[in-house]
Amino acid sequence: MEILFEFLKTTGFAMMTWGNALMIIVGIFFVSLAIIKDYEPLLLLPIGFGAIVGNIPSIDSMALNVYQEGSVLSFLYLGVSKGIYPPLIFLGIGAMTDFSAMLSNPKLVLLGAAAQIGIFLTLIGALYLGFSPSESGAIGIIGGADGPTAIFLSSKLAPHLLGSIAIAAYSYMALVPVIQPPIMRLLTTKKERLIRMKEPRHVSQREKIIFPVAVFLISALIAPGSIVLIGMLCLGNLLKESCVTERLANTARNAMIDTVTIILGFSVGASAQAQTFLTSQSLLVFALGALSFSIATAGGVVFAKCMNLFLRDKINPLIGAAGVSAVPDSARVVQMVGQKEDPHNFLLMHAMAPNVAGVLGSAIAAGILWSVFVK
Amino acid sequence: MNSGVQNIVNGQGIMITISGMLIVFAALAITSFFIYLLPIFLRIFARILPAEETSHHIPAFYSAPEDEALAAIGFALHSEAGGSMVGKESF
Repeated sequence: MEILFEFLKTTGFAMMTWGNALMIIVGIFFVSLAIIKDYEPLLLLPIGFGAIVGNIPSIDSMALNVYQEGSVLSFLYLGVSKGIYPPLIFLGIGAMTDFSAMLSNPKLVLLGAAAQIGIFLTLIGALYLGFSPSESGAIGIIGGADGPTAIFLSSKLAPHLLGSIAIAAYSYMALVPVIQPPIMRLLTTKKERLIRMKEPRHVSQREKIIFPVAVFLISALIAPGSIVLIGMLCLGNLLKESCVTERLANTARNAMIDTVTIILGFSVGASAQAQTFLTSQSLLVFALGALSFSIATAGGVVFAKCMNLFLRDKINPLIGAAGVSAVPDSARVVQMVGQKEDPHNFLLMHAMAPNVAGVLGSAIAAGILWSVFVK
Repeated sequence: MNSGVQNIVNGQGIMITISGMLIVFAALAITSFFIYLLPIFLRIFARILPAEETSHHIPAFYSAPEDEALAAIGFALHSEAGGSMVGKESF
């Protein structure tokens, strides 16, 4: 009988705290959002289920959770804490990204730079609220709207905030269709939203092959901290565009990225334990993340309007919002908002240019912050 | 945590923001300029070193009997693959 009572003390029910219960509900909410609302299901589903798994309490000696040395989950989490998974995801993204839209209209690359203002202004906000400089850098990167970049940088600068930063980044990426449209409408006039852009020119295969090598050299020489992320992105793209490694490109953009996404999402979710996640700092991270995302969107739109002051062929300022990366969701949002004004205006291809430039911009920004705050 | 403007000053927030944005803009502006110049360079390059023209004469084996043609294609493919039938990618 004593054994039975001892066993009952070790069950999840006996050790459950209100925080664990709350996080399990959050996990179920994420899974529901993914299944019912189709919000970033590839990420929210594994993250949500990971949060459920990570909040089942267990006795310390059993080594079950991500923070206990020797547990299976801790080995899966190594890829997150050591920053291994994000570059592998970038390899896959590179192998599935077509840079033609950007190559056909190079001026739109600048919109990808303007949207990074969200990262740096949020850094100031986080400093103001009392976060340390390296924590502030890691929080600011949420404005890059790029999950792998956010995880990579926070694993380097503020590992203790990794769970909340990753979940904030992915949550806001899932909420792109909710957050961005009001800001885009607020900052543009109807006339601006109706602007039609020129058809993009044809891009030769040679240009597509030379581009990843050149952009890697430019970015890496300017911000060496971006070598890992941009290097893998460009390698993936070269595998795709070279046309001689189709098998490798296929693996990178399908099997490999899917495998890494599952493990990454699950282990990030599992790291969101109530004991480490439900803190006042996490709430501030979420608030600053929302601010960061909104500023980034506004930055892109306002910069597009400024560019129009000097351009003969006007650009539709809505596409500036796609500079926040979140590929391809923010480009889709641009298309959606544009088509509400004019159903025959197709902005998706144009929006893909700042969208992929935003990926480069946020990786470069991450490299800069890493170089500045590395100890 | 103590909040306040002094934290921004101590953390050099303004300087990091200005220099960070400048670097991001510089990197992407150079990238943009490179993309703009790339087709021009490629056009000049193509004029100096035109792509090799492929021969348009009809290969002799087209007129040969079918079995001989297949044998010739098989031999050519075998030679191209360096004696093995493994693809170009290697591990």
